Amino acid sequence: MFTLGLKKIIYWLTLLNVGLISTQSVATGPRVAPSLFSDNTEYIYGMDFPPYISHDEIENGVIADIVNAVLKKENISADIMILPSKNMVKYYFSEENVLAVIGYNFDFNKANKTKADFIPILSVDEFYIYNSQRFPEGLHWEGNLNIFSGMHYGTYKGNNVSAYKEAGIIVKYGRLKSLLTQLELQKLDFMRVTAETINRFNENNTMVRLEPSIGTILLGVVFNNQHPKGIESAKKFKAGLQKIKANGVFEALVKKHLGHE
Amino acid sequence: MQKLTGILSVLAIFCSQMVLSIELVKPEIVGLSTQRLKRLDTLINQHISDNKIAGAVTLIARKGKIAYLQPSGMADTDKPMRADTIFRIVSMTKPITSVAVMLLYEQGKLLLSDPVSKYIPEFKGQKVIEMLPKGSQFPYKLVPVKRDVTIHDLLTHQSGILYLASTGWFPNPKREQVVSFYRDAGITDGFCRPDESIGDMVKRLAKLPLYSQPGEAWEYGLSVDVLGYLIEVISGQKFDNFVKTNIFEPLKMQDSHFYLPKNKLSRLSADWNSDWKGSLKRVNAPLIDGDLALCPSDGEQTSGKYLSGGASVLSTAYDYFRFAQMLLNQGKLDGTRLLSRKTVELMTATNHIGHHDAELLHSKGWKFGLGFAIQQDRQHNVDSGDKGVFEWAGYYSTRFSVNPTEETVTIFLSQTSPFGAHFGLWDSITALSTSAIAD
Repeated sequence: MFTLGLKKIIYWLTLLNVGLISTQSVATGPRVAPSLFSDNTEYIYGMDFPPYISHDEIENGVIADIVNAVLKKENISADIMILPSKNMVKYYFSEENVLAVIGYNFDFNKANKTKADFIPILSVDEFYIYNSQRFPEGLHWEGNLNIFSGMHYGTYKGNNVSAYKEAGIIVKYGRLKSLLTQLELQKLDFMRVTAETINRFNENNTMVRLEPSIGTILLGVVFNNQHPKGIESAKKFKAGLQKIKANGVFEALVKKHLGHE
Repeated sequence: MQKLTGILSVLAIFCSQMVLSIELVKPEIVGLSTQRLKRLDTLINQHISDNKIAGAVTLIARKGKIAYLQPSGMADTDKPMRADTIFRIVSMTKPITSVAVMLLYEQGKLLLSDPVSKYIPEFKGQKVIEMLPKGSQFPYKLVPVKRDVTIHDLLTHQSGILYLASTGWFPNPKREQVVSFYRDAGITDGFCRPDESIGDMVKRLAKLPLYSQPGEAWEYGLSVDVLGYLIEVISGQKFDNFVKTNIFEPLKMQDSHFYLPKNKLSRLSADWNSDWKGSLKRVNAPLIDGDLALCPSDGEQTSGKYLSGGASVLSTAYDYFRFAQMLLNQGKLDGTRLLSRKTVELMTATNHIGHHDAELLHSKGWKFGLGFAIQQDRQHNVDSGDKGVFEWAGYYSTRFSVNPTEETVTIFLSQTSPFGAHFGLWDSITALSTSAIAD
């Protein structure tokens, strides 16, 4: 009898809790992630990288959506926590040995590389873009950074900029949206973004992309083999990723977020 | 030139009287000395003729009556200062935001002891930075908060949230590390108005490490900006609209705005850069000094998304007098009660920050209440005032002080950078306004 009573109490407390949480969720808008309310102790830290990983996107962006789909399929219990600082994401991987991190180009040092199991999810092309109002005659990109010498280049803190500096380019750091605003305001001359970024944020049609593509980046999840569940989870994740690719879920998620396969 | 300035000043007073119907009383009626108040003219005019400041509006009130309201010098290169000139009051926004929070407190919608995470879930389970010895793979580690940040922590700047500009005030590696996270995350001090909502900024800020454990240090920072967003969440209204309908309108602060209406732009003062040695230049571009970024031209924006609870308001000396007088009257002005006496007593109590001192505008002996610094005693190095005097300032050299014992309000509004240069002038103004008491 007592056990049954306790269960009932827990049931009603849970319901009450859900009710309270819902109120708060509405009050604070769509960026409230389930992880904020979860007792789940495993976290996968993601670096804010719109439109792929971001609280501003539906289901926190395509990468987060795919990762969550695989986690669910493979019963891997973990929540994604998106952080606004790449440095912090690296910290959690390096110093706290969290289960995994998601993002791209982590520039891990030797010690971190040995414990990192990178599973690529999406490959995206990157391009240089400029503001057509700033350069009405256009810019031309032939693979040599020297033609941008003296210009202002915008990028994220933590990205490798040595080649730009060697070419005499002035580097300015910021978040994607702030950099795009600066490009719009002609305070930056050019920056490096993915095709989806241009599609998503080129509201005024002033951003022009330079062909050819500069290269490709791989967005994915890095499991930590120093975490007690790291090796096992990585194995399960790889299998799960293959499964959702095979059953069409992966393709559907990419299409849902990016509008193409 | 002096003749021209004189003519413009006379015209300015004439024009300002036409535009603004403010009742001034003879100082003696409220126990102030006309002769002694004139010393303020001498002091401020000397600073203007020395080219230390371009101009200012100074207001002294006692027992609810304005006895001295003096526009001096120039508001812009071609515009004399007027009594109704509008100023970027920057951090003098903070007491207004704090009153807004206390309005919700009085409505039973929040408790000061509430964790902020109750309303903004991103604040749940924050981390605090601890620096590691040199040579460590990572220079820092993150430890869990001992308890969540509360609304009281935000009101009293004990949350562990910093200003980026604080790297210039009190540099140390830990502060530099926290601010580098702020930079990465696109957090700004709000002195320049970013193209985003305050909620977006606050939610990112909540994910970043705190400088100190909540309640364990007094650190002036973006805490009041968080309160601005908290007001939006709890009230369901945009922050500026809440302040307008609940504070500006009831107090008849007709010239106080987060974004100036177009028809008031001509009344906005220019900002000036002074080396305090005679070189005074109008500021025409953002002022960047390390992590400090000031954008005086953002005050000319007539609309925008960003609503900083710590910095966005533009106002006049008269409007701010009405706000300060409401506090001096223990929550009431002209028959309108905004706050209860007990709430104002709570806000102005001297013991909100324990053994910490609010050492920014002042030195030891100043504590922090709910929105402003409070003079704790007369034992420390202070030139004027009494126990219980409360005051705060703004980055473009604006300042207000309320002395409940003597029932005085002193307001000095200038637009002069850098901020630190005007401290001596301010101390002299408060000394002169205090020594004008003649009853």
